[in-house]
Amino acid sequence: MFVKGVGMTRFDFSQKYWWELAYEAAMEALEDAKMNISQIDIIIFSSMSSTDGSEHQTHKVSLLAEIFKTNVPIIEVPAVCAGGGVAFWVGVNFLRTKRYRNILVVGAEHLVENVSEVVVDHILSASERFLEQMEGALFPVQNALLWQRYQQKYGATMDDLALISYKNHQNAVLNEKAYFYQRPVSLEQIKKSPVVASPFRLFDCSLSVNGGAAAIISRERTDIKILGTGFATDTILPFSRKDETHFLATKIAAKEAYREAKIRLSDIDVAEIHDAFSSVELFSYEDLGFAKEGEGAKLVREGYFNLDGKVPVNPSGGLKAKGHPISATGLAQVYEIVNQLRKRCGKRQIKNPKIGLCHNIGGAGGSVTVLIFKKI
Amino acid sequence: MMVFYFCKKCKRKWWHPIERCPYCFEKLSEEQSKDYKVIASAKVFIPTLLHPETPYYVIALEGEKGERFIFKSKKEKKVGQNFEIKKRKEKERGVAIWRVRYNFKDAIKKSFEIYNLSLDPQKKVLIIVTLRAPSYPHLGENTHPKFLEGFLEFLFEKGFKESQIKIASQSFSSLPVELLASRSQLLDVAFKNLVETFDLSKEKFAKIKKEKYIFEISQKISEFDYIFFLPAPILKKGEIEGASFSQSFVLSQENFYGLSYLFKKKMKEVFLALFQALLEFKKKIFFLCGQERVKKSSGSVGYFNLILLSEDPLLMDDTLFQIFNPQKRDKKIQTFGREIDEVSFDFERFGP
Repeated sequence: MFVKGVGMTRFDFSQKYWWELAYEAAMEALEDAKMNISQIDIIIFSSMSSTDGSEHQTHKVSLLAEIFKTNVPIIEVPAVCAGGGVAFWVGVNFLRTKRYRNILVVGAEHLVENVSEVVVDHILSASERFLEQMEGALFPVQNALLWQRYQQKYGATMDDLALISYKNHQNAVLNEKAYFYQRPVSLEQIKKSPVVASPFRLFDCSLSVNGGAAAIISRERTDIKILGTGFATDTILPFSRKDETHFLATKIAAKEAYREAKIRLSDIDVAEIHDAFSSVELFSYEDLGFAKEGEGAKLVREGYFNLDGKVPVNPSGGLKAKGHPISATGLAQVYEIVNQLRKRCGKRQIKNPKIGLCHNIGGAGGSVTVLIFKKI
Repeated sequence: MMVFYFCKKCKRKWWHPIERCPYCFEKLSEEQSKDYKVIASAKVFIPTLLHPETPYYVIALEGEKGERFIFKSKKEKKVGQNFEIKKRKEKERGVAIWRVRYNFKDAIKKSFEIYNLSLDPQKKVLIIVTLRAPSYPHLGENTHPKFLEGFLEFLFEKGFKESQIKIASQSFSSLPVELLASRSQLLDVAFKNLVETFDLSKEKFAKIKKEKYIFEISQKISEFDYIFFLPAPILKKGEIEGASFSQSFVLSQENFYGLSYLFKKKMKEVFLALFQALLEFKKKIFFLCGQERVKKSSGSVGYFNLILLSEDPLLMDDTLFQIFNPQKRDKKIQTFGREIDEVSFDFERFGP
């Protein structure tokens, strides 16, 4: 199975409708694949916004059928922040049936369309209603608590997290589709940003934005092979897990993807990791196997994951600085990795990558996908 | 503090009240720890619709049985500190507040514990439900059937027999009470639990004068030791029709209409006098409020899911008012279990 084309809108506070964002990303992917919509056999779509907001639209698949003037099956796969990754995983499994040849996978969110209290509340719907939402456990709060547990166990510091944010901001400055494109942020600014949920500061958290991303996957050979995919879930309540300092779903999804890809971890040249919070990027280095448990921070300090490091992570700027339009995020990661492998990334292009990895999380580790791609 | 469900065979734990383990098919047992420690604590500065007042704290707790969960607090708690819930001391005036986490019986049980209230299972209990209209439970006009059922389960667990409990109410409209009881699904709960119901309007009424008001109160209440009013609060412009109003169901229909007509603007005073008149029956009277949803002044309904317990209906209404109107917190109310600040949100603005 292969990737034919990828597309992505700019991530920002654009007030385009969700379907415009989906359309824009899909059109770029079609052009990239040198195809038109009539060659698409099935569409997998992911979104969580626009049901409550001004657009108030739940029958999105039919609206997409109108936009694309198609009668093919369109399946909506909502999996909150992991929506893009899960939609991709579903698409790959449809290809495996051999019934479909070309699949358009698209994610789009018009999420930021109200005051912060309303948007944050909407995002909070991805957590457990009675046990988390009602107790004020917003995602920054949940992750701040998990980070404290990690600190108690392994002793990493807030300065380590600041370095992760700083790395991602530096990368985003070079990405014309990132929110922070040409908007540099200093390490000092990161460390002095306001506290949102102690000890997390504003710059430890990703940025909610609007946007869309798409990929066309196919059974027809291209230069980008889908080497392995993994998808795992876990309880929505992170404190009910045996070990709340790491995400078991990431470990399972990664194991599945590595097994399928038949590669060693050292073969991976570049990765897009789900940095909804800088602490999550740190846990994930360890969950994905790049570092031993408790040793992720050491590698951060050594610059291991920098653009010029051993394994560059989040060359796009990540969720932190490129932006995080929930269900589009997983596909935006695919967009970056495919473009890195195709050496189209301009100033943020890493040297000669052959294998890239995408890691996408929904909630606080409740749904996780890992996707591995190879340039052939 | 919080019940969890445990499979004794495979040792798995759940917070959601499922009946049997999907692995072993064993019936799950209800467990909870006695002691809890703070394992992490975050101070939150981001206001949201559900939590408009900042800063507040969210703490992660661990019980001695190993269960971990999160809890909102207005007070700072340090990691390693023991965590205890504030309970009512004897004769203290106030309102117990607790969250319902899917299981009404468990939340009711906790509210009694917090309120420091134990019942004698040899005594007789009268439950007076609020019945405003022949409407379904999701519309929030009547006492919620899940709440009534949870209360009955609690009483049975305490050792009360079906024969010691009666459920009563009446219709203040031309519609028969049976229709209201049936549509509200309260009648189903009574039938299912083999608890007898009766229509208070069919009973004799005693005239009692309190202040300048004359009340016609059902004599039937004198046959019981405990009287529990189960209010169904609804929001009206600038006020709550809740626990105080729930007392009306012991009045004769004519008396209720007369008082409502003559003292329309002084109903708070009327309800206070009615409460004092009820106390003359020398019965133990409690107000237990536990709706799943509450009707807003706009007519739509919104999420509630709290249990409130008090002996003072006016104080309970003031508490409800403050819970629903975070910006109108002019009076300090003594609460036990949860603080008003922890559970309050802009109810009219927040979605269902």
